[in-house]
Amino acid sequence: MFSKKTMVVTGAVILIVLNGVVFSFNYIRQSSFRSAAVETVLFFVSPFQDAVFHTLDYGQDLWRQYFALVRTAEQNEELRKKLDQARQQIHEFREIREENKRLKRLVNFKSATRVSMEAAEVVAKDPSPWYRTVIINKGRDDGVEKGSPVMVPDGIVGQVMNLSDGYAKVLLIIDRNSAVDALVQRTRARGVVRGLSSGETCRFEFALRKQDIRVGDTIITSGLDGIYPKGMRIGWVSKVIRRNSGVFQEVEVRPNADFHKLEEVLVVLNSPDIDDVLN
Amino acid sequence: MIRYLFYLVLVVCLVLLQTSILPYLPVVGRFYDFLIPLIVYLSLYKPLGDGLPVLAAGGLAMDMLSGAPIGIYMTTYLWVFIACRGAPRWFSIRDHLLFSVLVVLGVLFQNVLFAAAVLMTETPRFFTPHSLRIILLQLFWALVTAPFLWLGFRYLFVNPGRLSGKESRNGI
Repeated sequence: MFSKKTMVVTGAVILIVLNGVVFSFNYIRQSSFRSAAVETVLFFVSPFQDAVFHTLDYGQDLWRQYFALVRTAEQNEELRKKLDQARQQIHEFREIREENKRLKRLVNFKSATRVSMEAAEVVAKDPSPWYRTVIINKGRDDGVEKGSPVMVPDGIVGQVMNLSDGYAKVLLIIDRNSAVDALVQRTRARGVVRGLSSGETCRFEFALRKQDIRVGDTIITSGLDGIYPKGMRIGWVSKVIRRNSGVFQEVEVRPNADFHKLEEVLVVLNSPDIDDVLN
Repeated sequence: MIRYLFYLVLVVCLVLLQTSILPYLPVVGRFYDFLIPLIVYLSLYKPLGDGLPVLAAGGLAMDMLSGAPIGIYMTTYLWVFIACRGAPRWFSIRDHLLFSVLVVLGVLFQNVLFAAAVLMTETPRFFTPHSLRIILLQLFWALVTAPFLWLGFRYLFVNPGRLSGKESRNGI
């Protein structure tokens, strides 16, 4: 119907007129038409603007939050690590404090006793549940000898049964193969403390029935076995059974040393010679 | 050569496990001897040339580290090894079931041997409630852990050549 040229020209004219009309609004003050036109435009366009703006804002927020989250997660991870490190440090400090306490006791004990001692750490325990030995990290090079007594401030622990240059195997007094010549501190009743390997108790053997031994009595080394110095604490009497017949009474002894928590020990380097003891 | 080095490392690891780690875990109490499953496994599935050196090294290490009469571990391993060698002829079951049964029997045998050693040399009673509890606990742990150990050993022994970065021709 119309040629292309006519349509282009008509469109251009309409645009120019429309443009003129729109420009003319700037000069028509307080025009109701202008207000209506703006309102109409706002009515139709603003919702989309709003939507676009919020979408963009949401996207921006999301983007920001994502990064914030990533950062937070990283910070969280970092803080967790720091917390773990702090916990580990607290644990280490506690461990050092405990070790310090134990070592202080060992040092005090070492300086209070006349015998020469060497501190050692327990590095392994007996693989068999039927025998009670431990391996310590001091050996021949440190002056340890076969038969050297081993103790803690609470009491005696055992004696060295085998050794190498750097390590020694210690037979604990609760082992069934262990025997320690002992005295009841209060009454000086003599006997032999033998290990049972069952639990943490020993037996005070060969104590005559007539001898006065009571629960709670302290058992000490007599020094007569030539291994342990005299007067070292072994344990305390936890049970006494006096039967109607028999020469001896049955006495159960609970060692002072806590064999479950055995970590550091002292090895007596100049254990008494049996001849010295007898003389 | 690398095979024997591998066995040696394994034995040392097991010995360390039961002397320096397990005794300090109060939860597991007194565990059974971990070398018994290894001996049982080697006896059942590996040639003599593999089992005997392990038996000797493990037995020697345990005997030297323990306060038990010297030779008792070696004796235990030797008899367990010999008994397990002939076991497939007597049992119709195979694989992990046979392995588990033999491990439990091996642990029981070791305890019997220890009891005999104690009773021969000592006056105190061996079978106290405490010792019976230890034996039962050991058998229980042996029964529970044996299938897992079987899987572990199978994984380790299928081709230990991979540990050295090259394939083993006979696959141990």
